[in-house]
Amino acid sequence: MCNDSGKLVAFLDHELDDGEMAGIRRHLEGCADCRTQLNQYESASTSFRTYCDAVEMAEHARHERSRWTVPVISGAAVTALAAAVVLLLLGHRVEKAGTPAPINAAAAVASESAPALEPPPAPRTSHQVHRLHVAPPVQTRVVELVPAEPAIEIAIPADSMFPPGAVPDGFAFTADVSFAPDGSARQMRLRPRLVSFQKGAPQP
Amino acid sequence: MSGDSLPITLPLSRMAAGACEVTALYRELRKPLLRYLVCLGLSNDEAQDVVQDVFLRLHRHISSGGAQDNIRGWVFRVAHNQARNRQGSYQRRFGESLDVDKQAPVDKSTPERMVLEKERYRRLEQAIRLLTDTERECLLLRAAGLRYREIGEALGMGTSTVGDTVERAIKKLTEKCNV
Repeated sequence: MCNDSGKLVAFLDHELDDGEMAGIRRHLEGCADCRTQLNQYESASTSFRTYCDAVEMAEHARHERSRWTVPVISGAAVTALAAAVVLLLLGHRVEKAGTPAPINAAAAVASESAPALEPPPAPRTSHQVHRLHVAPPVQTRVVELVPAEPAIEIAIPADSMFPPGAVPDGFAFTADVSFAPDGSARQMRLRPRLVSFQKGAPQP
Repeated sequence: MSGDSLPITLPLSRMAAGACEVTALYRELRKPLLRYLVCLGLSNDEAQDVVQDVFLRLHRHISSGGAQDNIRGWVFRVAHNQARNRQGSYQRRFGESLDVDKQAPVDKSTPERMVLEKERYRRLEQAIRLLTDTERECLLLRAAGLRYREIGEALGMGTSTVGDTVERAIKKLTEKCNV
């Protein structure tokens, strides 16, 4: 171990006065061990600086990622929320505009045709009003119209009940009539029916 | 007294000279300061805040005629104390391991070289973690380009103590990571 080996780091950092620097320089020319040691110290110093650079770059990259990630995630969340709200509103609108129409039309026709014969409709619950998926209206009607006694089905052309043009071509109405034991008509309901779809189809 | 004017003397020349000096120091020290603070464990945003605060203080210090001897050491001392005040994140960086596979700047020219360099970084990281706080801080300030006298001012140590600490730290790194 050389006496000057304890000053090698200070020599590397130029922290010695001029006389000491010159002395170490002279010593290094003749001492291979100290030269090797000095190279190792220099290499360790460089590695430490490189490591600090890597830490700084990693932090900078993390900062850049977070700078872009937060707006992108927020934007995606807002878009998803907006899409969900739009879908929800569309679902409500489709239900209100499309689904109850056949039922209401049939009920209106029935009430106009035989107001005295039809019992008052059951009050709707809020669940029925806001449900998103309802059963097909015709099937619902059939289930509701299953009478206690066998019913007589009479097909009536639409032209015979409504003025011309009021009902689209090909539609007829089926009247479901149930009779009381004394022979009087107890209940009658009209169901719209598409009867001449094949008849009206264009001929080849 | 109406019509009389009172002579007001503003230290404009001193302020202008101080501003120039602060600007020059800002250009010189901003990057090393940021790197030092990030290596101490502050996030990028925190480090930016500290640097801004440090230079505001420096401006006040110089404008009020404060001592300008060893001003670089003064700047790093203020920054170091500010970092200590943010104790929550202080020393987080070297407490966590750097993702060597993704973050270390390794030479990828050949697979063998890449593996060797990654291994070297892992050993270096382990060796850095084994240093004492003072040794690590001395090396960080030395890597920022400060002289031993300035490091002593920043950390409140004598110059000869800084020399001994730096030498001890470098020898530890050399032995433990066998670079």
